[in-house]
Amino acid sequence: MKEPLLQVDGLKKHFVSQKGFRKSSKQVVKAVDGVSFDIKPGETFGLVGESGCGKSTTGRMIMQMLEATEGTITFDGQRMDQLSGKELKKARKDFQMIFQDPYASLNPRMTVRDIIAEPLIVHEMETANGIDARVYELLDTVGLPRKVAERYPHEFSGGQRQRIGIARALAVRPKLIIADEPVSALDVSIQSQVLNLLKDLQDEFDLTYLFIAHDLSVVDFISDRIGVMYLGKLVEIGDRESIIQNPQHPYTRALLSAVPVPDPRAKRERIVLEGDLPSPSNPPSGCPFHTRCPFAWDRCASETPQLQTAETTGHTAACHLLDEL
Amino acid sequence: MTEPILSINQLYTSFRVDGETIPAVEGIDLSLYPGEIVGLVGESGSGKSVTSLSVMQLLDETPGEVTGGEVLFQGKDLLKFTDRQKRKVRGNDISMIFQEPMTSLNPVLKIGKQLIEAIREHQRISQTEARKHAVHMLNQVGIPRSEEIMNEYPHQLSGGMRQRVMIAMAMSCDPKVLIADEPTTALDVTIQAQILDVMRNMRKEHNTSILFITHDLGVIAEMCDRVAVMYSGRIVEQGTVYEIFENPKHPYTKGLLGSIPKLGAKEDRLDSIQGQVPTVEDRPKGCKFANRCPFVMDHCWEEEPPLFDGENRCWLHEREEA
Repeated sequence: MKEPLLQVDGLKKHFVSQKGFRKSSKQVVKAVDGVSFDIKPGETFGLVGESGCGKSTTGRMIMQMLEATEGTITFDGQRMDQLSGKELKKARKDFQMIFQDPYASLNPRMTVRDIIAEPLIVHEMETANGIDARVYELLDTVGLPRKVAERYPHEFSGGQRQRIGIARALAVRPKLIIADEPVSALDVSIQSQVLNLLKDLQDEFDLTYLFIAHDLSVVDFISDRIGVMYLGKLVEIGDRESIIQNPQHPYTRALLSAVPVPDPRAKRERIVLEGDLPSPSNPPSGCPFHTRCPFAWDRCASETPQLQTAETTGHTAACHLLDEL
Repeated sequence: MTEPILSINQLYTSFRVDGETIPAVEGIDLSLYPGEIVGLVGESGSGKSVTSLSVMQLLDETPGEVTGGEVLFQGKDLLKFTDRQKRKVRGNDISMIFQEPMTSLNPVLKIGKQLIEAIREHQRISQTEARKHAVHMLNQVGIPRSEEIMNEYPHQLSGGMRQRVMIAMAMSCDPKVLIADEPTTALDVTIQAQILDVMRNMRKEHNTSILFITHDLGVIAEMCDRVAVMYSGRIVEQGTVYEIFENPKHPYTKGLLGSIPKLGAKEDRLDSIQGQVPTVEDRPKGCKFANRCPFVMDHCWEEEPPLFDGENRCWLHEREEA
């Protein structure tokens, strides 16, 4: 059994907003509220959920771009919160991020060469002479012609920009890549190119991915294991196949049944959820999903269900009716 | 055979930028029959939204201009209408809903006021009656506490609720044609499922014809009777939803279908289309898909294929016929 590369334990992020005269009233938004999972080396873990479920906030805390309110992140055996500034800088080299918006995440005043070279310079990984060679190598890897090195981001399409972002993330030879909705801004024909590329790169460089997305079909395609988030909590977690074929949590079932399938003859039982996502500043009591759950009963409103292993499938879900539905 | 309620014939639309004319839509033919949902699918820049704006004649504020063709609504050419006639048709006979409901609703007016205004623009009824009708429409699209929502502002509603309000407004005058431009793209899947249900019910109850514009092939498969696939300002293939999904003929349609990951399919790789959509200046001289097509032949670079059998623009199918 391999040691996990990343361990996330009881992670919470509560944003406090102060309102009113003299900021007298406090409002706490529990964006992430107790999330735990781990990722083994070489694995792709897909974190899926609808807007506002806390999946991006989770990714940002792991990236050390946001400080966690509670909980720990252990990367490669090191507790991230115990590292000094210097040590953290060194550790950052091993985890890199790919962002959703390929337009906002590249500096418009830098050439492609400078964008890709920047992490190499920051982490002092290459000599001045070695940088050019490495930049060309990276452009080859992500399938861009070498001549683009002197160009600026605005000259590229969304898909090409995303390739530049991937080259930048790969530059320092990271172990873990956190990809936050990397293909959701792309057209389908380009999306498939980038997904294939991400798979190839994983094989070539032994990468571990945390893949954050709202699109279940995409997460199903790329992941080995999947975690489903709802209102700041993980409601179900397990192997990809088990989650997709045998979802246990009613929210996962509803989510899966709502995905439009590109087959006009597909006949499916659609579970249409009533109502909207509750506000994370005022989450429902007990199970966060009970306000929209078709199976909710008394206990769901009063007691928060914990993640437990379902006997039928062997993967875990947080539902009072586990193994009974 | 019934007459189409809306037919677009040889529509050309171009944009004038810095003295240059950039063609966005080049010769589109598309018909919409009563009670039918037709999907217009394509990637960004394919001209699908420009097509809908041309039909609604909402290009006045843009550098765009319809340069040729006709748009027949019940046999009359909308493009020849006076401004007064256009106002009468828009919202009354043909309505439109957009991708981003926040930008299509007025942020400083209450929901009720906006709905009533839209209703009274086209119907000679009293304020009270219009209000009653507005509440009825909100109920129809599944908005809870509709009376209260009438007195709220758009920013107080969630994205899904706003889109419902837009649909209620669009349907309030019982239009014959609804043009929906990416109506669910900005929404989460569980909310998308609700909105698609609302639209299906509208069609069932009012026999509304819907032109459904989207890039999402899954949504197309669920909603549409017929599909037209656009690429580089042209329709490259059209047919029934079964023909398109089960027996696609054009290499672009095939590529598009291969590109989408299918839930539970356990695929290792996706069949992607190489390269990217060419910019208007870089469009090949012949078939616009030639530079990305896996089956490209010499002839494709030279001459643009016509629409064979009125359903697909690919030279491969000329050979089959011969």
